[in-house]
Amino acid sequence: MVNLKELWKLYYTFVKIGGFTLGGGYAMIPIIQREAVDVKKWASEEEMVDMITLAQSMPGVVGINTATALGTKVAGIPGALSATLGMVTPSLIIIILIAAVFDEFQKIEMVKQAFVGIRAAIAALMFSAVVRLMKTAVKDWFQIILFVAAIICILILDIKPQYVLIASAGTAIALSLFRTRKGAAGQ
Amino acid sequence: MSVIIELFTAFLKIGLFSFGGGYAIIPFLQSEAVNRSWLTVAEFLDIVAVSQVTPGPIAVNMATFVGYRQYGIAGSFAATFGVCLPSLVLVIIASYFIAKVNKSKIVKGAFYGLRPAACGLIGASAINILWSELLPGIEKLNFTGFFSNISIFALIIFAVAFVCMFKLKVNPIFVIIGAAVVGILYGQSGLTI
Repeated sequence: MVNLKELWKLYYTFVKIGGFTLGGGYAMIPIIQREAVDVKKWASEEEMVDMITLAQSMPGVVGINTATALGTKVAGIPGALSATLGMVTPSLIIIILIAAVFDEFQKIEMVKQAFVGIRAAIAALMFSAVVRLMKTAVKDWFQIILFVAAIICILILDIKPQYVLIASAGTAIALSLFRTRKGAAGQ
Repeated sequence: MSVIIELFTAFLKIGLFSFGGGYAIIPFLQSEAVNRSWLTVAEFLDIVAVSQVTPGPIAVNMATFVGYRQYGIAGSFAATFGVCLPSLVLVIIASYFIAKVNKSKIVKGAFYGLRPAACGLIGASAINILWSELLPGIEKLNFTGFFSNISIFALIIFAVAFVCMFKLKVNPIFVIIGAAVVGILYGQSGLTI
């Protein structure tokens, strides 16, 4: 029997987290962790760390992945649905309200001027995200090659980004299996 | 109805291929939404900005926004459902094998390659956007008309914003607000640099 009270608690907790955390999925992780481990006692510290690792090693939105993993742990599939629904509810409401007036808003001269500055700042934000990511993502020669190859594939060869990812993952899996085999043979 | 299905499938693809969270969605949003002419590059940047300064996961905010622009409330639900569905299915399944997945050599190996590639994809998007937005009139790798079309003002904002976020670790939300204020002051002053 599905415990409705527990599902409501999951939903409500994620509405709060989704509705009050600025800065996206990564900013939510410590808040989800505190809420799940210290406040609601849904998981132990170690279980939570495992769920966060899992959330980051699956495709998709990190915030949604974390909510789904915790929801599944607490109440199975209904729990996963409640947590995820909670996480998207504030986004849906807030963004629909903004999108509904956005075009009118953009007709105001001052708003137009503001967005000239904002667009340049967003371009900078993307560059700073890339440079920051490079510190953890591009560490050896193989990774440097994949990084540069990805840029060339998109900008010059016009290859679709999904193919770039599939090829990179495939090459990396082959290489790491080859390395373990070689390591095992050497011992 | 066909727009709804198209939104759903486009965002399903976006959700399935965004590895690493946050900005990982950007190259796919660009390839799916900008190339389908759902958005111009300027609108795309506006949506990134709005998604950044509002609460909630950035990818979900962007999906809701693009969906709403294409097909109202139904469109925003379709896009959001699409972007969340891969997470739901894959993470629910993986949750039952959590220890195995976290120790898996295949998953680790895949991420060893996915991390730099995903980073390169965001880099390529960033370069694309810099070209089309800050250096208008310049086609890919074609530098004719460089000095007549370049927007010095946008480049200054770009450089200052980059230093603020990368070196000084200023919260992006404050950088966006600051850039908005400077944009208004510049517009009101009537200067053209």
